[in-house]
Amino acid sequence: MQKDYDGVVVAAPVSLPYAQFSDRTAQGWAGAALRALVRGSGIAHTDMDGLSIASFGLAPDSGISLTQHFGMSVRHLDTVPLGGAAAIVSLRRAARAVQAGDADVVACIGADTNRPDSFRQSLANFSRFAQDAVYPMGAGGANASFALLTRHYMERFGATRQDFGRICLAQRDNALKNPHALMKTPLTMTDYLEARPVADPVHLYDCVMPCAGAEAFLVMREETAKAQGLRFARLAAAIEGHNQFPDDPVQIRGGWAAHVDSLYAMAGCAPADIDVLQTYDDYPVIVMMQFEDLGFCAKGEGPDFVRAHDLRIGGDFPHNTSGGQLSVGQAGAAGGHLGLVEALRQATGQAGPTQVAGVRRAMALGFGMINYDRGLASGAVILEAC
Amino acid sequence: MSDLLPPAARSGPALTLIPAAAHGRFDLQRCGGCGSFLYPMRDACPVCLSDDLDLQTAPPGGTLLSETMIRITADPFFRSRPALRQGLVRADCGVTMIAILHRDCSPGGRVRLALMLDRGGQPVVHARPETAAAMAEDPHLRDLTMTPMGRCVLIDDPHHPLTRPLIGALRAAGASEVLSGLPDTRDHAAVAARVDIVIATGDPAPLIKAFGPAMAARDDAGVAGWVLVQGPGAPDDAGTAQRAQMALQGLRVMTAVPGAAPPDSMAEALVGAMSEGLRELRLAPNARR
Repeated sequence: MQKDYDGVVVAAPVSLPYAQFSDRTAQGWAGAALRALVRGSGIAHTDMDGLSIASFGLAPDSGISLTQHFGMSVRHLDTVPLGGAAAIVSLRRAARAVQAGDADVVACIGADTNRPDSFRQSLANFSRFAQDAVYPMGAGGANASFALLTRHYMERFGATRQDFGRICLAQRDNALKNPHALMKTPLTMTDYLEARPVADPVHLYDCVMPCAGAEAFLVMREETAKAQGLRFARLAAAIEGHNQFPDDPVQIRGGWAAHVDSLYAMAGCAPADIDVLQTYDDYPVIVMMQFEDLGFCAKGEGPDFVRAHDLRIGGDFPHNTSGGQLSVGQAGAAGGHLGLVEALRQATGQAGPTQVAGVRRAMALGFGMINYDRGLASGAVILEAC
Repeated sequence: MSDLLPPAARSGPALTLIPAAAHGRFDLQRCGGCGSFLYPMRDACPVCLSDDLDLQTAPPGGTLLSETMIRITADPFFRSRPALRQGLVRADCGVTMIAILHRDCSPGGRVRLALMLDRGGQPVVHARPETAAAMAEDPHLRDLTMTPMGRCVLIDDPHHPLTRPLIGALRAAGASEVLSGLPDTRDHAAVAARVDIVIATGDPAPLIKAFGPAMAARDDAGVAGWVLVQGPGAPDDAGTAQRAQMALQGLRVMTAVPGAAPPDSMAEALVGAMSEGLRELRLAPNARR
């Protein structure tokens, strides 16, 4: 029986404006996020005793290098190489540390830079299995891997490109209220359907734009947040799961599906009690799987769900309210932090132009690491407004 | 030297698939502890954790679970080629493989899997329709084989007993041009610019000198490489050093040992092996058509 996260809160949401290309290093973006955490919390970085970092571009550094680089002396240190699941996993580990008193204030940062060649370099040697058994067969990268999943899902469950388009259009609409989103023009269904194919059936607007940027938040005990006068959200529940369902011939569900009951039991609520949802949107097919796997509809009912709901900020099922990665951009390993930080803003009433009214519970999801033929990593959290 | 080679990086275990691919065998790791076939190549069995993981020939059949057409790629080699059809295959032996799909594969249909060597001599997975008679020309298969179809082939010695049957077999396989004998020195450059395959029945050194650099400098899918026909007593590793050198230049080397096979059988077998992407062909003494 999983222990709850009583007493653990999340505060100080930080999202730095993204840039399509940047000369700044990943360390530079992480440092900028840390500066913003200090400004946003009033807590000096030398008073933070935990650091959790997720980045694809730090090599040859890791978290330990950053402690000296940034002048932090820590009791909790975490380098999380889990791509889009890193934010959730960082939070989960930091939560146990502060709950047990192993640390008091943990800075969780996702940061990456982007140069014209960095994407190709990261594709070519992403994992040993990808290097040996995927990349040589056409060098399609993640786009081809998810195209295989998308086509299979469409054939199995009757999803159409229009169904995926609905997700993308709603997110773009949300993004227009986010001044930091890299995509700044409305998207029509015609634009979406007629966009250039990348790896059939994945087309241009099914793909995120890789960019440079950083996201961050602080994890601490409730009394620390109150003493600092910070707005905070309670960590009501958190799960993670990796390489779950290895016998599914093709991925149709993420690891969350294995422990979703624990998630809601811990939070003491049901799917209907989630007021705003931030899915991990590397591709719309994975968004649809998340609607199913987290209990908002049954497996295979994703298409019907999307047809029946309005996913915009003012709609009946607000989803990816800052625009998600598909409209804001993916800053490397910070892609999963984007949704978590937006969920934190929603739950603390700090979302400004993208704020959904009356949020009591916000859910954020993480996913990623296509080691071979499926996304192995996953995580989910529920944040509660106070 | 052509820089345009497919992604070359492979782990040590993956490189052990090269001999199987060179000989046209569909070999995979099989766990000595529990009997499971494994793919991709591993260092421990995910079922029982055994490290007794030798290669064994596996049944090559499979079913296509999904596919895509890769139209945009960051890799310079694949960008220079037509869009690639990639498939997700559930192999009958129980593993899942990502394969380059022949254009004739039907969606969701049955395929025959093969390990092949790419232009750089590295192992890749290919899938063709399970019940394929004559397969249509496929752009990506041209990069994986020395198929004579649509190619210009030069045979060094017009008087060698293999030459006449070879010319017939090559033409039947769709070669666009078959030359025999070395051209006049003044025509060397012109011939070198268009010769795709050189079949050497004798010492290949003068041919390599005459045609090697021009062939190696070409990036197009037409240029294929060298077929070195060895004498009957050739050792097992004949051609290895030449193969290694040429592989670095994107040129394939195939070695063929006819043994005592009659020229007609040898020619047929040789052209068949070239079309299949084999790198080594060794005929038994009593081989028949």
